[in-house]
Amino acid sequence: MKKLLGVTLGILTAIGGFLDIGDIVTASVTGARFRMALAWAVVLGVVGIVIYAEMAGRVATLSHRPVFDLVRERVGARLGLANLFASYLITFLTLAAEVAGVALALQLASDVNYLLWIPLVGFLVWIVIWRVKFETMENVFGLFGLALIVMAVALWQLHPDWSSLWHSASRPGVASGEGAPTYFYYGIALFGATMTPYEVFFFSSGAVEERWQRSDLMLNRANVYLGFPLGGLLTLTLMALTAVVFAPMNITVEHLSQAALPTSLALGKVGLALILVGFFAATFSAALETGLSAGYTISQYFGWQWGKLVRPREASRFHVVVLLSLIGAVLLALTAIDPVKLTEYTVVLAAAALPLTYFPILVVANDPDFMGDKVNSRLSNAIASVYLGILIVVSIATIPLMIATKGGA
Amino acid sequence: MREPGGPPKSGGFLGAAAALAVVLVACVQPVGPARTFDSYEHKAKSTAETALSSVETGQLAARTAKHDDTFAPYLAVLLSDAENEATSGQSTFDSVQPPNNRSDRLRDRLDALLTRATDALSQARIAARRADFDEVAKQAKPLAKSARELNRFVEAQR
Repeated sequence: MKKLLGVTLGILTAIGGFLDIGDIVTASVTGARFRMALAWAVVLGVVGIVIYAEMAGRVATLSHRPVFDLVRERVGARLGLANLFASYLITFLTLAAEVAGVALALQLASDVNYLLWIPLVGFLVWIVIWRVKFETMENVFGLFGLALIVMAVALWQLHPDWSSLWHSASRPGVASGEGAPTYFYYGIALFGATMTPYEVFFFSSGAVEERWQRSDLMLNRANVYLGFPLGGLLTLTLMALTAVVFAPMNITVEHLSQAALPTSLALGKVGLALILVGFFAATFSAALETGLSAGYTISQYFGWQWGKLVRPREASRFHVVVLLSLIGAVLLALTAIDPVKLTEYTVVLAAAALPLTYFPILVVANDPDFMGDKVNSRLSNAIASVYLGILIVVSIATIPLMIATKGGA
Repeated sequence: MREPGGPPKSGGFLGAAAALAVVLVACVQPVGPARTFDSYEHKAKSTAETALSSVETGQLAARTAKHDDTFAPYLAVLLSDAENEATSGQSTFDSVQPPNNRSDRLRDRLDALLTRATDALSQARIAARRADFDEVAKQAKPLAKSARELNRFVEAQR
């Protein structure tokens, strides 16, 4: 019974913690602009993150070593360092976007300018990372993130034309007035937002921190196979909401405030209150995860003591990296850089950087020295190899598409 | 266990630095000049579409105020964002040099529409900051008029 409760809690927190500022922004923007014609990119991203996170979780559980430790060993110190630099940069930019996202969520509830909230948000993120237990932190914010299920109720309450939504999702194509490069650019944005690298750093490091054993592989699979796809459904729901409300009026989404409007229209104050709580929990939880991931990547690469289960004194360099990353993210967010644009560009670059960590994990997941009898099956390898091909194509296409479309303008 | 470290490959750093540069450059989108009427008209249409999107957002906001389906702080932020979007579109468009007399006339026509649109959004935002939902709801009418005008303008440029 206790085990079942643990599995259920894990799945619920995986659902609640799935969305972040990247998912919220890209789903809202693309739903309003392309209706459901880019739903395939979310599905592609969810399947990808399921494969990637399951492998990384399994590798971390069986080897008791996290992603960057293995990346360094597999690709060597030099290439590993370049890999670390790119991955850290993406995680850092994501952290800045999440911190700005939390501040924007607080602005929506208070009408106090988000720039004034940013230093406080940075401090709160740091204090939670410093003082709150890993499990408590993960569960509390994951469960509060479940408030975003209100979006599904709002969609149902709006009585949309389900067949039209399905038609738009199942027969994707470039809408008139839009160019193919812009369409695919936003496809990459959605894919990158769904398959963010920090999620895997956090997930696999969590498996090492919580000392998962072989018997916990079932928990790993339950979180990944159930929690992530259900979390992905929330992304599709938000896309559908803006497709139903904004697309017919040719409204483009430029601000986080607009993402909450369809729910307010459908469910009034209760719906609005819940979605604002959900936005706060989702972005705050992601800020914690990215803050920790910044520390994880660097500490794991250099072989320093890391994690929240050891006393801060024993993992001082890890905590210094987390603190400095947070200060840097706060300073970047305080430059008044448009948080929505920053998020859009970060998720696209995240997609481009994915092969850097995906490939070494795929190699280790096939190494019997680490995995014993739990190496990838032929089927997993076939699917994982197809995804490696997709990631390489995405990685090559991203920057040219970004330049050609002027960042999706 | 671990391979000895060595100097990093400069290619990786250059790639990452290039990626960061792309982000920073892409975040700033300067407005190009308009050398012909067609190019100017295209910019006018795009500006009108942005304003129309803001006005339509304002209309939906007014609807939530009418039914008391919202909170004043959220409504104020929503309307302020819509107003800023429209205002920034207008000031960007106004900064473009019209290439000829025909463009001057187009500029005057659009400017009048944009000013009416931003005025209505400002009134709604001011009322929302005072938590005066009735006044916000009253702006639905001028916003709807603005939306019709902008829509006609966009259609005319097709």
